[in-house]
Amino acid sequence: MRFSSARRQLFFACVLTLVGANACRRELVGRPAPESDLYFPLGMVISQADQRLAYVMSTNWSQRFNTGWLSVVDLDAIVSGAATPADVIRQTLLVPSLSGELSASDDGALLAAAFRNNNQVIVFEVNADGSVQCGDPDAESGLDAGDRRTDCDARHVYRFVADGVDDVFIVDQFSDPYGVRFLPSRDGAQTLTIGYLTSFLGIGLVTFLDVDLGGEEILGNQRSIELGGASGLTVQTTGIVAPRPAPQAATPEDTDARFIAIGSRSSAAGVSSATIFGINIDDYEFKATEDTDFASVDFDNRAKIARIDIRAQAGGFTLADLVFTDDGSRAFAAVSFSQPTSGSSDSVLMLNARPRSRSIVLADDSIAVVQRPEYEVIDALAVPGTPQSVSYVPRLNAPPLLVTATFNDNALHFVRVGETSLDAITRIDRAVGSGPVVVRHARFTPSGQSADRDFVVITSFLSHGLTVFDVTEPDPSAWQQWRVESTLADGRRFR
Amino acid sequence: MMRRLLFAAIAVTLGASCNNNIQLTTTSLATPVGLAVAGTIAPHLFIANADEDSLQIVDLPTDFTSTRFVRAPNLYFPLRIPAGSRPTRLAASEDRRYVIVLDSATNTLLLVDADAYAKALDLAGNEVTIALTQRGATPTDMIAATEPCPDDGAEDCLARVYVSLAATGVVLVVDLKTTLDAAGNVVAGPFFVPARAYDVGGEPQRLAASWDGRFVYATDNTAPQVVRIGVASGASSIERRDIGGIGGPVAVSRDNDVLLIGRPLSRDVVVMQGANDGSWAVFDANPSYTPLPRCLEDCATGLSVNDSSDNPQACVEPLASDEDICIDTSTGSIRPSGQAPYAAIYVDGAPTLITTLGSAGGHEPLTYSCNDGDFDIDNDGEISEEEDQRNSSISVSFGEYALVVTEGDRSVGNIYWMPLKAAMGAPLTPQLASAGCGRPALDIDVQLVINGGDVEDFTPYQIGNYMADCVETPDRARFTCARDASGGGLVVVSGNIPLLAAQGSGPLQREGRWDFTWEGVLPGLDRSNGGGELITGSLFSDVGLRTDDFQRVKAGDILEILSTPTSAPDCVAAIGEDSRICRFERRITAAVVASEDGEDRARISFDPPIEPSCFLTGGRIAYRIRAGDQFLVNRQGAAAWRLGLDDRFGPGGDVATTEPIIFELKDDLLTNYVSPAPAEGQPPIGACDRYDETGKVLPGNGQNSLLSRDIKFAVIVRDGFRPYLTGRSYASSGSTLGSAGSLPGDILVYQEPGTDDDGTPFNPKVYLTYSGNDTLVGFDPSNADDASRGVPGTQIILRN
Repeated sequence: MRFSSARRQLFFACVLTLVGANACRRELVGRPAPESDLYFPLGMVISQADQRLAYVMSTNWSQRFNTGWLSVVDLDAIVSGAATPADVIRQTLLVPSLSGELSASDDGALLAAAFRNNNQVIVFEVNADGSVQCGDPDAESGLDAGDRRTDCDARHVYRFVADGVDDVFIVDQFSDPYGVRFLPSRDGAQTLTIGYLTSFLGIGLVTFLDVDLGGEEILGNQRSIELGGASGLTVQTTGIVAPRPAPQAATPEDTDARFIAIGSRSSAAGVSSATIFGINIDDYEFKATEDTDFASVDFDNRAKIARIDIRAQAGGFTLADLVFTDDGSRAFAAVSFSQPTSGSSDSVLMLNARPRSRSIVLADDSIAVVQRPEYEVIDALAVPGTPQSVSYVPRLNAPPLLVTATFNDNALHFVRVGETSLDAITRIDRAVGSGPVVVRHARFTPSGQSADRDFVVITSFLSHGLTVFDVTEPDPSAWQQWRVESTLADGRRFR
Repeated sequence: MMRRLLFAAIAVTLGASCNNNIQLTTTSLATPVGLAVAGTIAPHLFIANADEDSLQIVDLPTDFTSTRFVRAPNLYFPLRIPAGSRPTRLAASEDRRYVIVLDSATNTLLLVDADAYAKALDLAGNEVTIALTQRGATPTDMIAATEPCPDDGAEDCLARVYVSLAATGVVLVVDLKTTLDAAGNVVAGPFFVPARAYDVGGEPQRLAASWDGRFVYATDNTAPQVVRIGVASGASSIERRDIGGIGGPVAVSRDNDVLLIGRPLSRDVVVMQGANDGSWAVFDANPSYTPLPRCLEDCATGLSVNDSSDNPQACVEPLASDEDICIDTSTGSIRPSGQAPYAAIYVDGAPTLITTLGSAGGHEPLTYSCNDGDFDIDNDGEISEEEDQRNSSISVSFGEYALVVTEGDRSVGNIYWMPLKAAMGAPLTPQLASAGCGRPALDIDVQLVINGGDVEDFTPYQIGNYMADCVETPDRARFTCARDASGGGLVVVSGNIPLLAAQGSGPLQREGRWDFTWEGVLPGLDRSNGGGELITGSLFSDVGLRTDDFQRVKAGDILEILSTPTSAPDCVAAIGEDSRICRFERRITAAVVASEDGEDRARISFDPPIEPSCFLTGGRIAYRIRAGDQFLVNRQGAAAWRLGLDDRFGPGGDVATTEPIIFELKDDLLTNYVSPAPAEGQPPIGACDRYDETGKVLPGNGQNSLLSRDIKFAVIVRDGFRPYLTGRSYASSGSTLGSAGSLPGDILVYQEPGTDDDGTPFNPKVYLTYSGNDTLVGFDPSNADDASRGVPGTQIILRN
């Protein structure tokens, strides 16, 4: 079925649109979190070291429980036949409810997640055995009543402030953080970038936090970029943040600069549109607090930011996800909430992500050459059913795949990726749970086998499950599938 | 009563269901992609619905008025024929009895009986399929062969198709056959049989066959090459040619001479000629439209001319159209870089489908209109006969039009017409239709305004008084010198002039207007109603200035005070009895934002100082700020630039590098300009010495009368390059056919056999699917112009 129930659509709107964040602000007392279950799972990261573990964030979306939680899931156990969550969940770490995206640092040693309800970001440290921790689980100092129920201490929990470089904002403008990604590290230094699902008065912030594991607070040096407002655009959300993989050194074909693509929904003159903002973070000058002559610098900053109207290129006004290939030459975007009657479609796009040189005019009327991706559409494929995420899956023995989950259709679309083309291979619209959301790629050697295999892992938001496909073989009919699902009866009310 | 009504309603409904003429079937497509025409009883258009795993069928009447879907038994919905797991490409058998279906999900060919509207069964009652190779090997295209499928004594060959298998680097030939007995009766089949595999290497992507059946062409997903496979009987050659980028869709002209290859990455189409012989090579299409250069390199150093950093770099990933040019920084001219000239045809979107028109004999050539409008090219105020004759046309033989369908950017699903050869077969530089005939036509116009009134006598102010002759450019159509009769000129980068307001139909017009004002008032800095406050004798503030406006103020700009000075004693002592307002014009030395009491305030300093008591309330002033010693150039309110007398304007220049015109001012302006700065040993020339109260240049001091503040002149450029409006399909003349869709699926040209009552062959029809918004478009290319006026019978759009 292409269209699901009105209830589901309403609920989905609550998840991804802006009204939902405020409507869900009140944290209920609830009951303690279960030991080994998934509950409205959303964010997911595959362990860096051996890729046998999946870190899955249960959002506790209905707030039936008094916290959310981060589960460490043994993928090898799943593909070895374990059938229940209790058989595959190795650890449960209590965290606040209503998490957004979960992401990992380059080396996999750190995880980070945003929490929409409390305007927080929490850093998690990954231990050598794959378990995770966010400080002293019994700590109470510096934590509010809700956070004390979690397993995190205050060092690992960051609340946004309107100080320092960001003193031009008010703290309410940092509400509803959702997208969280680590920038490619430089000289070992880690930086987080955060986008928001709610944009206060359309200013469209994206925030950067430096990571200092030895510091009194792990996250700090908050600094933000305003994408709306001065640009003449009303930016309604900046929820998708996607750093482009950066080469270690510049080449004639590429630059070692670090670019971030921010997927937003924005509007100008009353027309909503999916927009990508492209920022070269290594060529962006943040305002120093004592800087009193920042206007021209800010002008230059804005001139350097690429702004690409995806709706004009391929229709749709929500950019649901954006990922890059490992070499940064291509980006793939999921575009949803399109309007077929106006000639557009939900789709996945292949975008040219190689930087190009382009002349821009600076505040002093001088000309500068900037190098930045312009994200031209190379190919597009219709994917009806509200695609929610997209994952690039380079396979060992077969052409790479693009996998996207369509939330409304409960389907997975597998697409072959060519140099300049997307070709649909197959669609799986059964047994992937209800409300498939996040898709990730894992490669490991399952127990009892001798060679690596490529797996695709999907969280199912509405049915509290996790689905794993073995996509190693070129022939989809040879793919295997496993699934675990929590049976928390009350939680099924949204199905 | 209600019961009787209900009974009546049921009776009517049941009666309707028995009426075969009722037309209630609605369009219900589901990601339509592949197309084929088949059916021996009557031709039908078969549509592959990829996301519904089925085929749908459309009647093909001789005109579009009665086009309709073949109904399902339930009457209200179109018939659906189950066709695998993801049908994407279709091909008809030679006798049109069968439709061969490529199932991309299972990597299988299926067979559908086009007359029975059902899966075809062999004599044994089994469905007819063939697994091409292992699943996941990814068939990327399938086309029907254009050469006859070879029979042998025991087998009758019904169809031959070519399938590209990307994962295995093979173009596979599959035949559909039946087995015959000695009497010629079918005793087995139909069945598929692999006839041959061409190991072309790489990842073959899209396919096209020459119309004489000698060659099949394939683009390669892994190499910037096109592959030509000799498929004629006895031939087995496999050759490759470089096309400068990864190829996408490919098509062959009806005379088999021209090969067109779309390049999605560079958003253009490469044209090769000699496609059917040994001379095949990329043809220099001399593009009349490419985007503005985004990054130009110095011819001498190979580094970006605009990279003012300490470590200038070469351009990274320049557009293909930029690589063949560089700029001579000593002269400002644009020259060939020495690399092969950019020879592709830019379409500003990823080309996804290409086809060529075909037509039976007897058709009139299609007219390719050069309707450039009445351009007064020599700017004499009249349309001469020669200028009028530019409204000409070129007849293009019907079969030598190419249609290019793009997706992406401002041309979602657009159809581009590309004439390939003139009607008489003479070579015609392939180009975009509606791009003007040959070199784009340009019209430049100059308007002068002095003190608010139009000046009829332009003679003293011709463009040549201000602009030098065109800078040198390569002899390519994409750069066009628009030269005024007086000798001044500017280079126009064709097709990039701004659009006039978008129009719903008909050719669009590009028109750009650049307004020039010497020492013009900067936007937002006309504070003639007051707002300034002298803080000290050399510093003033204005809390009402917008930040963006304030940022325009530069050192050297002119503070023009408008308030009437007082006769305060301190003021008189400072300036004497001459209190003309022009004596208070000052040069700005700095503009900064200062933090004061926690708030940022704009501060503008100037020199020489002014006694604050010269103005009321301790120095309140009305004022304007002018661009000092520069022209202010505005383009239709969209942008503004400051142009110094020695600056170059346009791509590769000093200012406005993203504008579509390139020019330099005349040297005379600079050499004859009397700077207000004092010459050595001479007293300074103040504002009162230079301008009267209206801004007109005063005689004397050797001043250049052309640089007068009361003169505003505008250069208007009308570009004959007629572009395409967003998301529409276009006829060959540039008229819109109506809205197009997104994500083009397939394009098919169908020439119905036979003739009409006059003995004229039926017109070919073009059918096009848009998978993104579930749409089927059909139009008659020979009458496409009429479709823009809503004439039924020449176009149809079926959309869910």
